Amino acid sequence: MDPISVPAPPRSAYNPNRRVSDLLYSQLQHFQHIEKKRGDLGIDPAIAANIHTEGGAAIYIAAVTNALRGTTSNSALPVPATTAAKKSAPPRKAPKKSTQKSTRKR
Amino acid sequence: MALDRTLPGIQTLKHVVVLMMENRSFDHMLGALKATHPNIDGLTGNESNPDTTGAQVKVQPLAEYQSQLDPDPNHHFAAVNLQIFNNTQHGPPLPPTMQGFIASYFNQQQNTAHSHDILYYFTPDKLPVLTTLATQYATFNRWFASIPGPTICNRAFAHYGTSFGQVSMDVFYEGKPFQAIYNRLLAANHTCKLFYYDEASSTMEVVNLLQNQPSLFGTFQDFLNACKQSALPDYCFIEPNYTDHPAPDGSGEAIACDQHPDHDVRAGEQFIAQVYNAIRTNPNLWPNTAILLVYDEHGGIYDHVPPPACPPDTPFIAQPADTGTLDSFAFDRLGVRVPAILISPWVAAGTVINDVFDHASIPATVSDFFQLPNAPRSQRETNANTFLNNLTLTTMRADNECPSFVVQPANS
Repeated sequence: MDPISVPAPPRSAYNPNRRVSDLLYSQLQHFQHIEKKRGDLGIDPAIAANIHTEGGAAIYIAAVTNALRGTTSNSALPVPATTAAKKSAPPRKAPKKSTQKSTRKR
Repeated sequence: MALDRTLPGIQTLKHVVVLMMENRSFDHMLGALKATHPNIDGLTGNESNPDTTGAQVKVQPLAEYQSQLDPDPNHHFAAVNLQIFNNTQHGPPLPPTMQGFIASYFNQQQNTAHSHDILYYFTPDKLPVLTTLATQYATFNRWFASIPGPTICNRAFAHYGTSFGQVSMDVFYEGKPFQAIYNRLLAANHTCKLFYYDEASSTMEVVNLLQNQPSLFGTFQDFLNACKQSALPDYCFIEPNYTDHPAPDGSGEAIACDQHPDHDVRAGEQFIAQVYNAIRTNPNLWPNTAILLVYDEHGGIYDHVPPPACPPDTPFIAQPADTGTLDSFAFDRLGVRVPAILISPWVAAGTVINDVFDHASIPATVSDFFQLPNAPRSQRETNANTFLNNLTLTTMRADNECPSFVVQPANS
């Protein structure tokens, strides 16, 4: 059986400016619930406020997830503290190359 | 049916991996396969729904990877009521005609032409991974979402065997009587892990497992590493990437691969292929791992099979204030049908499974296979069918009889 080629989506499919879906909105509410309940997670208020787009929401979700997991690996690298609510999180430059194989990083 | 432990595939089996994707119906993704595989209960092409002008609109093979199901089709309880029963306020004893999908989607934009898109389905050539796995391993003809409702309560059934009476996205389980399958496995000295894509996508199990047991979690990269090192936990549950975001490690763009509308379906195809390849290419894992690929719910997209009744999830009852209808709900019927595929070299190519399953079958199957000690379980899990008896082959399929995928890089 010959290997089957699996095409990638075009780069234009990637849109961190997309507004959060109902699903992500619920996920964010759950993270906000925890942040309020714990009260000591140290999340930057600017990150917590900028959650209207997928890119912005992802930064907040990463911050709370890392706080809950106590993570200090490269996954806890500083994230942009300010991005306007209706703009995407800006492309970030890596302080260093990841040593791990990228999965769906493009 | 009790698991036949004399089956060679069961005697060899060590790992169960569940990958749960997002928000696509069976007919939308696999319905076209009926033309070439008549035992797959897909579409004839004559299925239809009325639109708001009264015209009967037929299903069409016009589904696109992206930009077609925007806005996200409503799939909360009342909207699904409309889709199944053609009535927003009442369910049974009304008949489940599956005639309200266009009406439901029309409600979101008042656009008659656009509302027809909810009946569109993919041709197999557009989904090479999903349709190859479906035809080369075992397709479930009757795997339904656990609840006619949205994501989080449905995913709860995969983790707990119940949603503890919730039909919405607000599912809080603290102090509830049934333990997650992960707790049950750990108590029996088994290993298990939930792998989210990365910390920027994280999990939908936020307020429960992530908050209370963060050590249960790993990233998709951790999963790939575990496969590479032949160090896979006994049970793995994988969540896709839910957002387009810059990769937290700074390595580039992490595109959403959950296939939730309006995310590009091709990214999900690649993700499924990556999970499959990670196991398929490791001779230490492939013979002794079973993969269940399943979608959490239908996402408001058309399917032609009426969801069946099921034993109620006693004592849980969702009240009308929660369902958004005039009816309470005793969790005594299933949600809309979703794609589900069982993958293992011990499964015969072209297998089609006709028994009824829902996500409560996941903890039921894992508990059964790992012979976990008796613990309190929900009524729905207690009554759920298990699926590993489908590893029926007496000899493992040869390497060249099992498909393999080459994931292409993004280049334009």
